[in-house]
Amino acid sequence: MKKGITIILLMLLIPVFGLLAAGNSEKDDNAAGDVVTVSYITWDSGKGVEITQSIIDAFEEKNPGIKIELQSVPQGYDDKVLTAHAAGDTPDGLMMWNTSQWAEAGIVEDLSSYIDRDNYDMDRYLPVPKLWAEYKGGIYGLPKDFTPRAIFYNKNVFDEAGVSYPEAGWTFDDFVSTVKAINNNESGAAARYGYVAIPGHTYALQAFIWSNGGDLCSPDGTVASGYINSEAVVEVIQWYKTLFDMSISTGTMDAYQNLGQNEFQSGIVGMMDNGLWPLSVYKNDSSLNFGIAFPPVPHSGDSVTPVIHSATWSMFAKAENKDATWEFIKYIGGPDGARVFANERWGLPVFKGMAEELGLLDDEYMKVFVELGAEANKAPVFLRNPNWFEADNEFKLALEQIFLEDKDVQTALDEAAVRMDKILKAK
Amino acid sequence: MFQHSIKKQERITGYLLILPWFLGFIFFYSGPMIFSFIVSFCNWDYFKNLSFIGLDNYFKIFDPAGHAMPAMRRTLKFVFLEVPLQLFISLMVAMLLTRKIPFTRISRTLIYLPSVMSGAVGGLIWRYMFNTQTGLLNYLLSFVGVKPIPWIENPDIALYSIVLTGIWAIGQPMILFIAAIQGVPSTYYEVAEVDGAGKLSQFLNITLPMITPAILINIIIILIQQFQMLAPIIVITSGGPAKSTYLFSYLEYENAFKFLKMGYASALSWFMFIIILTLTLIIMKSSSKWVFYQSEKGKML
Repeated sequence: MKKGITIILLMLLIPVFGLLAAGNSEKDDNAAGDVVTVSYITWDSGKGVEITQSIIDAFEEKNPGIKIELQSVPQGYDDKVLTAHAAGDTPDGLMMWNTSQWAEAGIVEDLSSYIDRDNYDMDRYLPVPKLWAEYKGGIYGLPKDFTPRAIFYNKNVFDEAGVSYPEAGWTFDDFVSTVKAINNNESGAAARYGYVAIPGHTYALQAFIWSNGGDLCSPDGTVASGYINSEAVVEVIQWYKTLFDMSISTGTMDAYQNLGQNEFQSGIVGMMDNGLWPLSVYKNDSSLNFGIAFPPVPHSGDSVTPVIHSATWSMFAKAENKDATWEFIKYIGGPDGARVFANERWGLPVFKGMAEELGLLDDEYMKVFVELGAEANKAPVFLRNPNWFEADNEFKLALEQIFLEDKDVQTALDEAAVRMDKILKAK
Repeated sequence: MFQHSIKKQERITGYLLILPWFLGFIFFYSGPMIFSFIVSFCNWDYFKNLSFIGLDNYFKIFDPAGHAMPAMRRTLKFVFLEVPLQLFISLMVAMLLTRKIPFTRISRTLIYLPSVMSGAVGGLIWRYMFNTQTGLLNYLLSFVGVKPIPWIENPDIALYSIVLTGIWAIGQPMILFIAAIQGVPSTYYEVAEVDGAGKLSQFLNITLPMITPAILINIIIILIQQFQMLAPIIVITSGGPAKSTYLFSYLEYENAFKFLKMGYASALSWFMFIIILTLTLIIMKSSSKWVFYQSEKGKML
């Protein structure tokens, strides 16, 4: 009897000791020596991590007292950020894209005091990427690289159909005719589609809506009625519906940004709307002969307002080594770090004049992205209100009803507007 | 005196033995359950702002303009399709695999294997199989001249496609059925054959009634599992297209982790708990009418 109880108690206590020991050993590392270890998480993997690591190596050479431990979280990044913060045990730094929600929830540190203390010049940044870091008067990170969305076109497919390549300034109608000319109504490997369309891609549609003078909600992000169901938006959605009915659609949602990448690479699609991410894959594919074009504008003479994707180098509010983390953020978010990413064609540099300085305008593909980036003057809508994601779901539902169930555009948007108003106004 | 002490010792030992489980239950089950119950009456964004709002979250569930009721309708539709499907297929396969034919052992293992896979991995495989242009299913169908079916792109059929993916998971119920079928004494079959009963009649009048306990367990397990099914939906359709596969579990997930509305999500999960509990109780109550336990042999004959 006594032996049995002893064994059971031992079985209970051993794992407890094990956990305690594990916990303690982590703390010891930082106590010994003068080296501070900063843990930083990234959603990149593969090439992205390689590039980031090379910048870390350069930083560590210049700053022998600081070691950066890079952790790659390619899946479930957002969940990791949320749960780490909720548990009170976070890494020191992170890449951040969701400024409104995460700043509002207090997950990221306001870096304004560091910026002022070190006289860090924020005006060196291009205006729209800089907006990514700002929320309610605070600055929650240093801008990372960015990419606008452009139109990729497959030169072989165009040549086959005898259609001339897109030129900047081309209109919605031009786009429709191009798609019509390329579609050949066959199936299988012989099929040719002008465009790969996506039924609910609200992010990409922002650019076309802005180019048409409309917007998805009010500038302060609290009202959708009068914006999402305005004439300008209805016009754009009706244009996209025409396209959708004629195009191959990619229903499978992979990484949100890279919808259509596989279809375009297969060689049966003439055009795709995307950021510059596929470039690194496409450039190594010798069978793919492609070009980059400006997105079409609604009417002749309109100017294009592109939508960009960006992120920031930020610090967790519950970080342990804030000063060391700030030193690293200054480096990787500064000109040195930006230069490395830009030279690798990983993203456009967010510093004014750097793209020209690095000769990106001489790269036939990067040139268009740089020029588009210079035209960017609006930050994406989700930065205006942390409740936007829920409201965006209503917009997305309306779009899917329009594209997949042929619902009337105005009706669907009117109904969505009412629901979105309620969501945007909620606390 | 002596007897008291032994009884007391045994009692103490008994409690000590279940202590680990009990502590685990308190910390990992009932503690969080109580916490979630309290949170369901509040607005909570998971980090800073926690405010008591009474029954508002529960009223919101029944809001006619909201997404909760349609999601529950879809979930009920899904479950009432999925449970019979899984039961039927696993029973048929179990019947097949309890015959004296070759390869039954290895077949059982192979059929059981997919249910070991995580829902997300299996879901990913299904998503590629469902692809309209390049998926395996449409490829196979093209050999018999069927035009490509938009499995997960057409809002009208997407839900049924998800129901179809349930055949992946029949391994578990199948094992229980095999055990139950093998537990039926062969004397019954011998007697029936002597009396001139055919195979079908034997199945309906001997096998089925004798395995009703296994049927009951499987119904309840599959019911609860399918109400909570989430990973495949996230991976295959993300609740789309046009919310046709937006089940109640997905609504909870989105509200908890995308919109950071923990209070509402907690209320949703308690609502689901009540529904599952009610259905389970109804099934258990009805079981006395149709489930036959071998210890009551007298009643049967």
